[in-house]
Order: sequence, then C-alpha cells, then structure tokens
Amino acid sequence: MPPIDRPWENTGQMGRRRFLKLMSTSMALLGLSGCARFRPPSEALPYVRPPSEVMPGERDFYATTLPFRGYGRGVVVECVMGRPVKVDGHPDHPSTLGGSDAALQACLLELYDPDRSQTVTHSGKTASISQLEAFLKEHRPRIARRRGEGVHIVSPPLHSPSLEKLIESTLPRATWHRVEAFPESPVRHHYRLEQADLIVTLGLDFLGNHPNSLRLARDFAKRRNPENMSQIWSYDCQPTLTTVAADHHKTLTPHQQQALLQRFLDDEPEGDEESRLLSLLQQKRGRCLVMGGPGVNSSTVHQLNEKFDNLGKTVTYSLHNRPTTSLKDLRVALDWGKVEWLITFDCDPCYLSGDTLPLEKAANSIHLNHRPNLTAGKSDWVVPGLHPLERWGDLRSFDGTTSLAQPVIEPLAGGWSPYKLLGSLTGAAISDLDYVKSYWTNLGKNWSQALSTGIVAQQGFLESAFVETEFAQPQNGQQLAFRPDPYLYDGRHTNNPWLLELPRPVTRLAWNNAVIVNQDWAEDKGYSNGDHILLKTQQGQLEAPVYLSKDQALGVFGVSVGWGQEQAGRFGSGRGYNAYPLRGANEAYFLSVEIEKSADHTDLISTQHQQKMEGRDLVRRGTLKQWEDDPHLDIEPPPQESLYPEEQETPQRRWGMVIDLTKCIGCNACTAACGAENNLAVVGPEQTAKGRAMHWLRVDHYVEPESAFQPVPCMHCENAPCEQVCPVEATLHNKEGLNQMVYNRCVGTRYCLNNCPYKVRRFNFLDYTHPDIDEWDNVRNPEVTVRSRGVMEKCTYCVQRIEAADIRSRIEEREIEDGEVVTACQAACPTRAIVFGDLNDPQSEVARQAALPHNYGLLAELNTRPRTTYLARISHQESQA
Amino acid sequence: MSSKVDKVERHSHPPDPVVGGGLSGADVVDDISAHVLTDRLGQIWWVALGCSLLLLTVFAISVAVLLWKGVGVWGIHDTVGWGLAITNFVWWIGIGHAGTFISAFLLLMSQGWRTSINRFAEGMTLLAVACAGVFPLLHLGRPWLFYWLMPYPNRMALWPQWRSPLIWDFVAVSTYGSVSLLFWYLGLVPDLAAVRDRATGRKKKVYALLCLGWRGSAYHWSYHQRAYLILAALATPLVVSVHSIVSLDFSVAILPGWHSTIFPPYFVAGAILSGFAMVITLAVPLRAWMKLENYITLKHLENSAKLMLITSFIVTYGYASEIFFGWWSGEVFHMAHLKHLFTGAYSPLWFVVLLCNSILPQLLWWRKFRTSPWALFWLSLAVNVGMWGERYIIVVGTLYKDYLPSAWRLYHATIWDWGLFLGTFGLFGSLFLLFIRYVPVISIHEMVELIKEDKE
Amino acid sequence: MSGTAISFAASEEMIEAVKTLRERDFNHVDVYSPYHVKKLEALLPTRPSRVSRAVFLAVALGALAAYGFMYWSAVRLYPFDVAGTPHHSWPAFLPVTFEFGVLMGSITAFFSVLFFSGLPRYHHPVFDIEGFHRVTRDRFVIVVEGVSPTALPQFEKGTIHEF
Repeated sequence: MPPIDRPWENTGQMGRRRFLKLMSTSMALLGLSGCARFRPPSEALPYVRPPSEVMPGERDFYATTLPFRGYGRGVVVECVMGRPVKVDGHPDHPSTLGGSDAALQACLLELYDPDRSQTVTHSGKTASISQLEAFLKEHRPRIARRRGEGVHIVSPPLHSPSLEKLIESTLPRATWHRVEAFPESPVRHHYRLEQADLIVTLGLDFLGNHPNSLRLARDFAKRRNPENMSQIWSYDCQPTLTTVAADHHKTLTPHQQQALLQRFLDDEPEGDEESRLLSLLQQKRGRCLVMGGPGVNSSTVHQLNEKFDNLGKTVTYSLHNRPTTSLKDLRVALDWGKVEWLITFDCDPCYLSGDTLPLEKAANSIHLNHRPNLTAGKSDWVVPGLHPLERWGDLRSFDGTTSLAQPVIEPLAGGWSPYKLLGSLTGAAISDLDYVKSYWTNLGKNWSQALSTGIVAQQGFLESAFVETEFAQPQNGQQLAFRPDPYLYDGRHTNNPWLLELPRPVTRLAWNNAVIVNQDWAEDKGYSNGDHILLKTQQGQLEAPVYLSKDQALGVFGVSVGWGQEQAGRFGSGRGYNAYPLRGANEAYFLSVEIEKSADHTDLISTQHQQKMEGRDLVRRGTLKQWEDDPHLDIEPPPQESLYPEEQETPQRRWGMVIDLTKCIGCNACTAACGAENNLAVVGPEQTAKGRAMHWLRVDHYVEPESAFQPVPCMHCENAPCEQVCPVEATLHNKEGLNQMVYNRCVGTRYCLNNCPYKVRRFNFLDYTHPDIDEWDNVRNPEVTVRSRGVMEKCTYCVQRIEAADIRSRIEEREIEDGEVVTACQAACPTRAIVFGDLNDPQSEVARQAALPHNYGLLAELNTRPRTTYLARISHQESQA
Repeated sequence: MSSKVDKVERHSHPPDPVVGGGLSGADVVDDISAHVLTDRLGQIWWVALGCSLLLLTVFAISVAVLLWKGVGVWGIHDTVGWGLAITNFVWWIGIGHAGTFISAFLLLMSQGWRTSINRFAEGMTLLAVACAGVFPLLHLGRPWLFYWLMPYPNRMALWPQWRSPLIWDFVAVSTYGSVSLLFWYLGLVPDLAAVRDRATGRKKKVYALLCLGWRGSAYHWSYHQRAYLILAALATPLVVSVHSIVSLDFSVAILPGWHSTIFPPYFVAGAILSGFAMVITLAVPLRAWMKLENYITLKHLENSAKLMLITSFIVTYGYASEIFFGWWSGEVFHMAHLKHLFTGAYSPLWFVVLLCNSILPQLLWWRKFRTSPWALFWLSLAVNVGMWGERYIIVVGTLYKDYLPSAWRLYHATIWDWGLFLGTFGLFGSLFLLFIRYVPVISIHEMVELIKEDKE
Repeated sequence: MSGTAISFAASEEMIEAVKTLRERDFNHVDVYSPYHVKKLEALLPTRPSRVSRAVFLAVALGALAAYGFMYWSAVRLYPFDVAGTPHHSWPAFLPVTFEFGVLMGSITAFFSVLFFSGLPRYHHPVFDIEGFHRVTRDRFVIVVEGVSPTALPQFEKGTIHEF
C-alpha cells in the first residue's frame, strides 16, 4: 500500500467492516508489492552497450542525468534485481567522463534515506493526496486566469529545457526565483585546461568547488604527467584542493588577490616571484590561463586573459539565459505580500537565507521535496518529492550537452515531480514521461537511442563575448569567507551519513565543521583546535569551534555552510554549526566580522589527528627539473633480503595498483566509491571520534613539510606483516597475490591491525550493520558480505569484480583483458590517478607505471613489498633546490 | 639450626634462620594442618572474602557488558588495537612467573630456603595465570570462537596458523598453566595426606579423596621426588620460554618499540621482578596475619629482595639497550619512538616506570631495607605499579604512534577497561583467600625434611 | 594382605632396621615416612628411573608429534601462502614443538607417579595399622608383608604391630 495515501487517517472511527476491508486489501496488495516494488519503470531503457570501463556482472546499467548546481551530470546506475546499488560517472558524458565526486557516489543513500518525506502534510498534519488535489483544483481557475501572476516559483537554478518550457507556457507571468547559496557569475567561463601550459588561479578552487569540477579535474590531470606538464600557480585565502594540487601556492586575502591582478595588469610586479610569474605569462601567451574566484573582479581577470591573448584559446564565455536570482528579492516579494502562491521545490530557501524568509506572508505555500527541511516545516502544504533517480527529465550540463534523465526505480515513497506539481497548477497534469517525450518529439525514433545512452545532443552553449558585471571588492579587514561544505554542498546532503562520515579532504573533519583560522593568529591568541570563538556580523552571531591551518589567510575566517540543520533527519540534524544566519538572505562570499573569545571547547571529530609527516619519506616528491636530471629522484630500491629462500613459483596473475600522486587531487571520491561498492558500515559520530571509522581507503592529508594528499588503500604486501601474525588463517594470500580477509574465519585478535604498518585494517568493534534501518538493505552490494561484529576487514582490491571478470573470461575462453577489472576507487577517480591491473602482464598499464623510475612503495624499506605503489609527486617548482 | 645458605654468608651479622622459633617437624605438621582444619583466620577472612566477591561482581558485570556489546566498549580503536586488556595479560602472566621460578629453578639450584614460600608462590602463580588467561580470551572480537586457536578437525579443514606468535602464545600459556597446576598438585599430594590424617569426619573424606590415597611409602616417595625434580627441570625452561614467547607477540611484529631482539630476556627478567614483588606484596601481610613469621622469615624476604634487585638491573639493562640501539640504528622510526617515549603523551608514565623499576629498587642495596618487611611491602607495590606501567608503555606507547603519522591517535581506557582489570583482582582475591584457608599454605613435607636436614 | 609393621620415632633407627631386614633377605619390605628419606633409595629396590624414562619418551614423542603435525597440516594437508614465507617455515614451528614436548613430559611425569605408585587408591590395608596416621607427622613405619612378628628379628626400639 503506498504510504502516501492513507485514506483512513482522517476518517476518525474505524469500524469492524472497514477494518476487515482494509486488511483484505492490504493482504492482496502485499502480494503485488512483492513483485512490483523494486524495478525501474518499463519505459526506462538500459544502457545497451555497457560502458567500456564499467564491469557488468549479472547487472543492468541505466544511463541517466543527475542535477548538480543546476547542471546535468551524466551517470550510469548499476541495478541488481531492479534496485540501484551503485552510481558512477557516465564514461561518454562530457560532464564526468566516468569520474565521480563523493556526493555523486553517495547519492544512493539519499534515495534509500529512511527519513525521506513520505506523506502529504497540510499545516503540519498528515493529509491525503486527494485533499491536495482538491486544493489545487480549487485554485486552478484563478491561477490559469491570471496566467500565473502571483505565483512565485522557488527552485535551484535548473538548466532543464522541458521544465523551462513548462513554466513559460503554463505560467508565463509567474515569478521564478532560482536561488543558490553560491551563485555563479552571470558569465559562464569555459576553461580549456588541456590547452594551458600555465594556470594562475586567484581564489578559484576549480578542482573542488566548481559546477564543472569533475571535467576540469580530468582536463587538469591530462597535463599532470612529467612528460607534458602544465604548471599551476595558486593564490587563495584558504586551503582547498586546488591550493594543495598547485605547483606554487601563496596564501593571499581577496584584497591582496585583486591587488596582485592589478599589478599584473599594470606590469608592475612586486618581488622576484611575481616577476617570474609575469614573465612566464608573457612567455606562454595564448597558452596560459588566469582564473578568478569570488574574491576578485572577473573583469580584471578577463583583461589579463585578453592581455595574454588567451581569449578563445584557453577560455571562452557563454551567458546564462536565466541567471540566478537573489534570496533578497524573494524576501522582498514576501515582505510586500505579493506572493499568493509560493511553490518551492528541490531547495530549502529558508535554511539558505538563515531563516529570514517570512514564509507565512505567502497566502498559500506548497513545498515539494524528497527530504524534510526547514522550508517544509514552514509551508502550508508539503508534498513528498521524487529523488532525482526516480525522475524523468532533461538537463544541460556545464558545457551545454543535453541529456535525458530516466527513473532507475519506481518511486520508493510515492511522491510528485516538479512537472506534476507545476502542471497541476493550471491543468490536469500529464505524466512526466509524456511531457518530457512531447518536448523532445523532434527526436522521433532516436528517443530510444538518446534514452539508453543518456545523451541527446552534444551541442554546447552559445559562445558569447565577455559581459562586465557588478563587483564589490571585499574589504581589507577581518572577514568571513563562506564556502560550501566539500560534500554536503549547501546542506542538501546533510542527512547522508556516508558524506557526514567521510573526512573533509583538507581538515579531515567528519560529522562536524569548524571555522578555519590562521594558525599563527590562533596560536598567538592561545587557541587550539576545537576552542570556540564568537563570530559577530551585522546579521547575527555564532559561536563555533576553530580549526587551525597555516594555509588560511590572516584575518580571513573560513566557515563552511550546510551544517547545523534541525529538520534534516536522524543523521544530520544538529550536527555542526549553521553559518547561514551570519549572512542572512545574502549570497555574499565574504563578510566583515568581529571575533570574540569564548571559553567553550568542542572536541572536533577528525579521522586524522596528525598532519605532519615527521620527517618520514611518505609522500615522495621531486621537481620537474630533478625528474629530468634523474627520473629515479632519490628513490632507493627496497631491500630484498630474506631469511627464507625465495619462492620460485610464479603465479599466473599478480594484481597490483599504482597511484599517481602527481594526479591525485585528494577529493575523496575514491573513499566514497569504496564505501558504496564494499558495503562499508557507517559507525556514527561517537565511534568516528574514537577512531573507528570504517574507510578501507583513506586519503591522508599532510600539511608538513608541504601540503599533499596520499590515498592509502591496502598495499597487498607480498610479505604481508598482517598475515604472519594471524593465528587462524583469517588473512592470507591467494594465488594471484591478493591479501585476502576471510571474515567468517576471523576471531578478532586485532593483531593484524597492530602489525600493519599502513594501518589500513578496520575492525568491527561493535555491531555496525544497522539492522534497524531496513531501507539500507537495498543499497548493499549483494556481491560483498556485510561484516558482523568482532571481525576485521580491509581493502580487497574489489575482489568481487576480479572474480566476476575471471568467471566471464573463462566462460568466453580468453584471458582477462587489461582494464577489464576496474576497482571502485579507480572507476570513481576523476583524475584517473589510480591504475589497477595485472603486474605480470607486461603490456598492462599498471605494469608500465609500476616500472617507471619514479615509482616507489610506501615504507618499502620494511621489506613488506607492497603491491600498491605510488608515483612520486612531481611538481613544477623550478627554484626549489 | 643453620642452612647452607647461611653458611656462605660473609657478613658479620647473625644469619636469619630459614625456620624460626625452634620448631620441630611435628610442630610444623600440627601447625599448618590446624590452619586448614580450624578457623584460625577469623572474621578478617570473611571481610576480605566479601570485598573480593564484590570485585568479582565487578568482574562479572564487565564481562557481561563486554560479551553483550563487543570489544567496542573498551577504548581501543583502529590504531591502538590492543589496550588495557593485553597490558593486564602481560602483567598478570609476569606475576605468574615467580611461583614456578621459586619452586622449580630454586629447587634445581638446591636453595633450601625456597621451601616455606614455594607453596603459596605457586598458588599465586596459578591464580595469576588464570587472571591473565581471562584477557586474551575476552579481548577477541568473537570470544566464543576462541577454540579456533586449537587444532581440531573441522569442516573448513583448517588448522591453526603455526607461524603466528599468538598460536605460540596460546600453546605456551596453556602449557604453563597446565604444568604449573600439575607441579603444584604433585607437591601438594603428601601434604593433603597429612591434613587427612589430622582431620575428622567429612573433612577427612574430602582430603582423603584429594590426596589420592597417598601413604608415604618409600616407593611413592621415590617416584614422587623423581617426578618432582623432572617437573622442576621441565618447568624451569618453561618459565623462561613463556614470557619469552609472550615477548615474541611483540618482537615478531615490525613496529618500532616492539621489534627488538632484547625482548625475550628483558621480559623474563621483568616477569621475575614483578613476580617477586607480588610474592612480597602478599607474603608480608600474610605472615603477619597468619602468624607465619616462623616459616616465612626475614631470610626469605631478604632473598626475594635480592632477586628483585638483580632482575631490576636486568630490566634496566633492557631499557638501556632499547634506547641505545634505537639511537644507534639512527633509523627515523626508532628515533621517533624514543622521542615519544620521553616527550610523548605517555612520557609521565614512562618516568614512573623508570622510578619504580630502576631507581627505587636501588634501596635494596641496604640490608636494613631488605630486612624491613613493611618497607619491602611498599617497595614491592611500587614495582607492581611500575611493571604494569611498563607493559602499558610497551603496548599502547608503541601502537599509538607507529609508521604513518596520519594514523596516530591517543588511547583512552574506558570504565569497562578498568572494570575488567579491577575485576580480576576480585577473581584473584577470592580464589587466593579460599586457597590460604583450605590448602596447606606451607609445604609441610618439605618443611619437615628441611628441619630434619638442618638437625643433621 | 597381612604382615608386620614396626613403627619408629627416628629415621636413623628405622634405617638401621631396614638394613637389618634387607640383610636377612626380607624382600617385601616397605617404609612409610613423613618425607622422602633419601638413604632408603639404596636399601630398597625402588626404581625412580622408570619415571625418567617415561618422561623422556613423552617429551621426545610430544615434540616430534607436534612438529610432525605442524608440518603435515601446513605443508601437506592444507598449504597456504602467508606473509611470503615458505610453507615449511621451520623456525616458526619451534616454539610449539618445545611447548608441546614439555606439556607431554609434564603430564607423563605426574601420571607416571600415580601409575607406578598404584594411586589413586582410597583405602589400603596399612591404614588399619594402629597409629599409622602419624606417618605423615613424625613416625617411620616399616611394613614387612606376609611375615608374622615372631619371624622378625628383634629391634631395640620400635613398636610392633601385626595386621
């Protein structure tokens, strides 16, 4: 029985006959629902040609499109028995090229969120669909007559051609607010990173915080090999993925960034370094690129690119046909009482505006969303929405490619789509599929093709000239720098425990956020991590814990939004602090602030307590020049001595992995993908604080001697210290050299964990399987055992994928091809920094990379002979000795 | 009435006797039997038993919570996989070394003075081994599967992984427990017969059963004494091997701070140091309470104290060599380990360890100190604390900072960690009180023989 | 079983008596004492080396069995690769070999005492000898089996019982 429709709930008494009637209906439906629940709609079409890099087992793949900051991102969804179990980037879609980020990997958990909106409510009370329909029917004539005047639609920016058409055609006079916590500039900048030998970024984290970051990361990575290497100069006021990846980084406040730009424009560099950069820019005319973030004037950036002849070569522009609108406008409209019907969907404007919107001033308000939030609590009507994976639709991606979205599962909790809600305002709604199909009638017979591949047209946005926009230079004083959370973005993913528990790339904080402050300043004032400070702006004040970073600019206080929601659900509610009230209905990136001391302290939850490398050669580095002189850098061959005679037996296959530290940008998509693939348990904030997070693969971030990321999966050592000490053969080598973990043999001595020098083993200290959350049974990969209490677990190199490939190759009587087995982390990596394959196959990519002179094993001096090896981090620093 | 030991004393002071009070053999038999057969210990015994049972309840609750919820109730995590439990295991098993050392090693060395303290030291050993055995069993993630460490035919056709030090440890500790029990019981049989012959009624029957029908025949004695000597000969290398193997749990691992060849002798010396400390801790109050001053004389305390001084030196040598070789290797990981030892989060405890195990035992150079029972008692307590701290430093102090700084993390024991540790004192105390009440606490036949030999 | 028991208060007297009895070819002589009287080893046909031999055999067999079992299970029966070490990692097999040998030896030592002494035995005719309970205290009792008191030589000290 669909939970959305509960006709008995408002009927008061339940008589005997009625009870029996309901019971018999329930029993009948029970039988039906057993076969009906988990399947994609019959109209949905699977991906006919399985993508080359994705491993099909007994599985169906569907291509669809998910929204990300208004743009579409092509994905491929893996379904088992009709239920989606894994999402990856679409290998042929220009927005992802197969790569992922953490939020993309974790989106399934929101589909199966036990706290999803399930029932229609009216004034906070459960109502029925028919009541909602009656309400809409009553208002329909008036809305239609006024052609939508008085209707205010609030949504995130959405580049959906069919939805735009729907609103235009049915509600031409309606006001459409496209609100966004971090609005894009009206001029869309298209960067061509492959073409740029030199990239200078001023406050733009194009790798971690950009609508097109997945594609930019891929393009960036293409030029991150020593043979043909671009160089990145970065200036930012806070540590980001880009500042860590850059060859040269300097911490500058927004004010200083703008001043630097101006000096470059005026050819008046200060100091040697600036002179060098300026001369480099001049050398690389037409092959360099200047990027600007929210703290600098895009016009200045444009002028510099013009000066260095980059326009049309490394950067082009296009215009938004519907730019983002401001939250302030929405507040003004509400304040003036002009809003008769407020339709909000897929967004939480009340939360984004720091709870400053007077929603009660709208005569009627309807909120459509698949998750509970602050706006829902304040709206008259709340309609459960469809998760993007349950929807039909279309979206354009950042480069303009249009692709279709199709549901990969029948709605789990019922619910409406925006098409249905908006369509219902003026007439009887036709189905979403029919609507989208009717918009794309010109596709004709190609509809099926477009649906199964997911891509309609590779046509880009119209190129345009630069258009100057208003810019308010940030002040030079103490200021807050607002930033979306790396995973929760503006707070829309807050009830996703995979994302909550995933440590933030730079700070390694999980389950909470903190104000990032300059380390010297904090030490001077006597603050240490977790001490509270009081932030005061004109809009409000907030007490929050601090996190010290040497890469945070003095006087700039980094706050991340997306936290501290109260209505998010059982996982996200009340986690961290909410920074939105500090800026109110205002999309400012920077805001002046006063700081006061507070006596309180919170123990920050972090998965990495020590970010200094302590003089150990863990992330090996070399400059490009050193590499050119001697590609071995300073890497010495590890010891080969053994007390025992060498084993002569050579196995047929030797699986191995190479991680390129020059390419890795530390985004943690690999960790998230590993979690999704391998059923990694969520342990919760208390257990995470105790150091029991279950990530099989972690991306260490070191800040000393130099900021660097290092993904650490199991090394699958040939001489595995863990195996030696296990008393019960729960961990041993298989014939192909995998270091295997046999869960049902493990008694839990934890000796292997102690003896693992890489500390990649994870123990089930308690029962972490969450048997109380039925919904989570659906997201689990049936090929991977769910681990019980008291057993050890660790990275398996996705052995289930290896086995599937092995079975397939044996059926087809052939060898496993190179690239046929792709681990989950490898598939997700947006920069393709991870390579996996058979080291015994001399033709394989992994063997080639393992033989490179700058390949090294982590702690190989211990004679563990790791199978996972690294390519040293080569950087473009020329002056460094 | 002077023993061989006394004769080699070169000091001018009058030697302390091994048996005091001019007791005859018959006096000893009557006296010790009366301890078992009549309630000489009075109300204090009941109060002590009550306290012990209270701690035993803490033990039971701690175990129940642990089994119900899992080892996650402890403070361990994915960096420090072993915490208080293994610390306690090594500590208890160390204490459990003195008994067999006294009984076996000193028997082989013909140290007659061992006779009056060996029985209760052996009892202490057995109970300490029992307390120690609790921890490796319960610290398993799935303790109900502990028997997978034993070789037995099973569906999976698997046998234990013989290359793991935990298997050696498992075999060594269970062998040590079994051999200690056999050794203790074999020595006890003639004494139980002596009690049988003094007892009446139901007690007589019980002791008659327990003594297995011992008659004291010359043939019995001949087999018995030969077997006892052989057991001593077997138990002596066993004593050395057990803590050596326990130390291999650490030194086979590759962690800086564990991977050290000095560990076996250093652990054995530490075990004997803590064992003798515990002997003194128990003997000093016990001899006052049970009025055993004639059996456990100053001679015994002084000799134990001398052994403590010697083993303290060996332990100190272990510390010194670890520090020296860490420095000598110049290796970044070992150097860092040393740095953390002296400046890390657990360095205060490390200084306590040095104080208790290396510096305070220097007081034992003074004979006056060695022959002051209560001074020795307080020193032995300090050494017990120091030895516990040493094991904590070895287990936690190594694990919390090993190779990859990214994994470094402090360890905080929880209430259930401490509850279980405290609880084992309840287990130990309860059983020890039963032991001193119902088992001859001094080896009767050996005492009688000793008195006889002295007279000759 | 019947015979004569002679009880002594001092071991020296008892030893003299045993010497006399042995000289006169009384074969079924046993002595009950509160402790091990070492001088009796030479006077009576005791054979403690039986214990030694049994233990030696047990230690050797135990150690051999342990090593053999480890070899058989780890190399022949179910070999698996662990830590890059050979299946027959003999140094790793030594601790268990030693321990198991000692364990077998100790168990054998304990039970061989019982076996050779005919224990456990709850009751024995000598317990009926008057004052026998003082054997565990301060008496040394010589028992000559199957001989009446009249057939025995006279001793200066010692109390004679017939049973």
